[in-house]
Amino acid sequence: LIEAIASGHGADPRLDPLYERAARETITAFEATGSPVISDGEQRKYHNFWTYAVEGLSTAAPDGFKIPFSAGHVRRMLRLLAGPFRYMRRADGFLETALRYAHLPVKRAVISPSAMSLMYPAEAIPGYPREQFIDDLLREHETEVRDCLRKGAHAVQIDFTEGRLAVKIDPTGGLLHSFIDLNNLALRSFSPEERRRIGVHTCPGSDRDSTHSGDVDYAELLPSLFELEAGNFYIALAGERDPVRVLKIIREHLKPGRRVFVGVVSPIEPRVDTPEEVRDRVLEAAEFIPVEQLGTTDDCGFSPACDDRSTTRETAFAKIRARVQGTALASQVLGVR
Amino acid sequence: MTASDEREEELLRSVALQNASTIQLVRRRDEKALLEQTELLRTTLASIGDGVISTDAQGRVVFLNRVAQQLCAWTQADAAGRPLAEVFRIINEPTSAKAETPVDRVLREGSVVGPSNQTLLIARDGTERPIDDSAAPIRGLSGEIEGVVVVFRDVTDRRRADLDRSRLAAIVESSEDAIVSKTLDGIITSWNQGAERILGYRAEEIVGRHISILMPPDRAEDLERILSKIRRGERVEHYETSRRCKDGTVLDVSLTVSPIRNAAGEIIGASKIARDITARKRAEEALLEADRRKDEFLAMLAHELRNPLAAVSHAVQVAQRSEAEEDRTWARGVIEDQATRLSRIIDDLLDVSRISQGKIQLRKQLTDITLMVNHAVETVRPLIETRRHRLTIAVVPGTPRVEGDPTRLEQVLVNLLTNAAKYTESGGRIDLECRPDGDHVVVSVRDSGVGIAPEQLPRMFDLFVQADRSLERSEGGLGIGLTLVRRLVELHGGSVRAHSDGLGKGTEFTVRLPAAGPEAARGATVPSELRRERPSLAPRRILVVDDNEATARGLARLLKLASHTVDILHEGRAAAEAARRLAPDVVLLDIGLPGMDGYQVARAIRQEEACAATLLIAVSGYGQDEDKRRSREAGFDEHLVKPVDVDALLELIAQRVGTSPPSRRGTTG
Repeated sequence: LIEAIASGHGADPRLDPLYERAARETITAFEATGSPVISDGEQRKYHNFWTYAVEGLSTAAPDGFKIPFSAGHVRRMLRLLAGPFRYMRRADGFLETALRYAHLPVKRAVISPSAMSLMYPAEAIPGYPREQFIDDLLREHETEVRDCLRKGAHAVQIDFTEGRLAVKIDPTGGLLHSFIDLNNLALRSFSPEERRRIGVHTCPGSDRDSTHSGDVDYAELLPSLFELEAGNFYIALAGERDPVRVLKIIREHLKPGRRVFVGVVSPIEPRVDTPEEVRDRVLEAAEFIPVEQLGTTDDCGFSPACDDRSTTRETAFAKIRARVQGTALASQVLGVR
Repeated sequence: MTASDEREEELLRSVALQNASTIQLVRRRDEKALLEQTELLRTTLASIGDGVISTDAQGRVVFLNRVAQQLCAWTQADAAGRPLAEVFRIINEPTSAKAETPVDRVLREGSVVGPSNQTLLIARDGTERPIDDSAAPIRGLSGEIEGVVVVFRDVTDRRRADLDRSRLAAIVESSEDAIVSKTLDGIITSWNQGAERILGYRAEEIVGRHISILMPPDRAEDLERILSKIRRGERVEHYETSRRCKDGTVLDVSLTVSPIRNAAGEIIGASKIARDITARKRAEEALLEADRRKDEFLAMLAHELRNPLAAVSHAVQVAQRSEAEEDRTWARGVIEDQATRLSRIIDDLLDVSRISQGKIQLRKQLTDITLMVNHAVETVRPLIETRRHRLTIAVVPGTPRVEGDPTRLEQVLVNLLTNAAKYTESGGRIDLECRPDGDHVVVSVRDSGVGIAPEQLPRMFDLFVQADRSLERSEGGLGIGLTLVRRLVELHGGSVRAHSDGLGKGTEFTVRLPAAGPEAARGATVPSELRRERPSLAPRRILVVDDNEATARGLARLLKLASHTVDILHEGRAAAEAARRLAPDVVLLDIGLPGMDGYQVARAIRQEEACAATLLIAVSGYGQDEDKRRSREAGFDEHLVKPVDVDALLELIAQRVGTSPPSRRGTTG
């Protein structure tokens, strides 16, 4: 599939059987790890986790803002040329395929409105004001999330990796707050029950075993992050240099009724963690976060872009298995299911 | 970082800044919309007809809408922050016990509560109202309960309406009449118990069916005619028609049909009240029949009275115009016969009246029915001989006696024999048989006469009924003879039956009377002969008082022919004075007199010593028992009914004063 995408266009309908096969194999392997909730490995996000919804959009150019990674490479956003703004594809379509093969609950990841908002350029687009773009963007995002929930997603995860990046670009916090405000506008269109199935993911980036904002202090991000009116937070932690400090920040700012899924394995760390290591990370987290609000996850996706071959499938599933087993060990220690 | 990178980051911050401004714009716009929506919601809550109270998570009042403030008699300012139970005071209506507020339940159970419909709300001013109430949790973003909303409404009017509806339903259900409703298409929508009782269908088997199921074939056009009037908003009142029951029978009914309107005043159906008037119809028909028979009777009575009067009139004219003794003798005979006939008519009418009113009293004694047969035959024999009928009488030996009134039993037999003689062509045959039958005595009178049509037989004993009233067949009479027969026989505990094989085939009447028991037979005295021997006469002084001069003079002449000395007076007071002066042996005193009436005169005479032995006889057109009682109380010795049978009067005088000095022997009434 990777070679086929590299040699042609990822949206070519002739690739559909390959996508479906990749999703099926991922789901089978994922379920074999014992994880209670699975995904399809984001097979359809063939370029990256960021632009899947707008790849091929005729009113966009490829020269949008870039995200530089510590490994020296960059990822680029698309730049909107004209309105109206519409998604080319939505993640609920990927979900339908996954649900055909899954026997376990499926989590569905979607891109955040704040990330997509960067498509509108600094100069206003004639005949298509920024306000109209924001309205269109919020409507497209809401439609995507609502359809995922309606079609049976166990949870919907909004990828908000640009949150930490925003702190890096704009240390004043202005950019971050604009992102938080925009995402809350989106979240407020959902009911409390729906929001309990919606979460927000943050990480310093995880591409070719490198980050875009690993050097940014979580202390600059997390207080604002918890202002998001989502029911769940998926926070990369295993790759942090000082996880205890991060856990203390979480404890300080986590609101009642919200759940935190801390990352207990790091995709950018080539070594496969042992279950015991995972167990210990969970137990450490449980010292700061009430058990009924605590969950585990991976720090990030294992392969967010098609040209990223840094992590093999075997390593990925081994790490997931370690996460599952380590979480089970911790649960025993904590006396919870 | 290169200069290009720095420019791009600067550009990115610029975009982010513009986006932030736009987001704030959008957020303010949304917040404004939210505020407007909130205000709209508040206005809506204030405007709705139900009371709405919201509380916080501790059950303290946050908001009351206008209706809630009115019903609870609390203002928003006073109520805010107070526990709901203080503002929303409720008790259980049936038990009057304090009720738990729905908020407490919502906070405890975390779910929607209600609706409850047995709650009384006690307002701050003490006013009590029945309410329906329910409550639901208000949840925050995380799903936790942040408050409770209570919705309630005053159901006083609904309760009253329910009560009125229940009463109305009870009235409808208990009505003796059928009360039915239907759509404008004629589909039955309700059916009360009265309808079930009258028409036979149960509600569950006829509701939903078409009303035409109740229409007899000849009434099919009723439906559209009635529905047309209903559609025009008109009522149909007391319309008499007929309807078919479940078992196929057809009833006469009186219908009142009214339009049913919905809340908008549109006519959506009809209600019908049907009263079963079958019994009334029959009674009306019976009354019409009785009226018809009364008219026939009156015509017949006029005829029956005119005939003897015509004969008397002719006889009087013959006597006036002829000097020949033969003519005068004939005239006397005619007058005597016709007077007897008129008397009998009046006697029969009075008997019917007395029996109908239950005023007749039988003077029962142990009676040999064969003697009654002989007397009756003797009475009717002249008619039988005139008609040249052949009469046979068969009395079975050993026929037991009966406990009865001899006079009345003779009257029964006379009537039956007279009927047989009248309704049999001359030269016919009449057979009378008297025989025992178990513990009864049976007397049958059979003739070879005109017979009775089968349809007439059941009514032969009804009053004023005659088998054939056509002039050429008429034999006179009032049609009361057989009625008298049946009623007299029934008074004796017996029965009478008529049988005929049809017109021209003769008739047989059979009377069955209970035979007297052996004990009665042993102890009874049986009169062997009702007729008494006429005693010898002696001349007496008699005072006749009657305001009708002709009557007084006629009676006086007859008494003088019997050798008595007679004085005549026409006025009461003069009569009393004459009696004192004359001390007559007998006074014949009319009751209806000018000045003093007969009773007053009698009392005056009884005060006179000179009249102590005077036989005082009332002579009146009234002969009821009540009249006789009043006569006795006034001092009369006897009471005779006009026209007086002179032979009987002479016999009475002879018995009481004629053969011996006058003496008081009591009345015989």
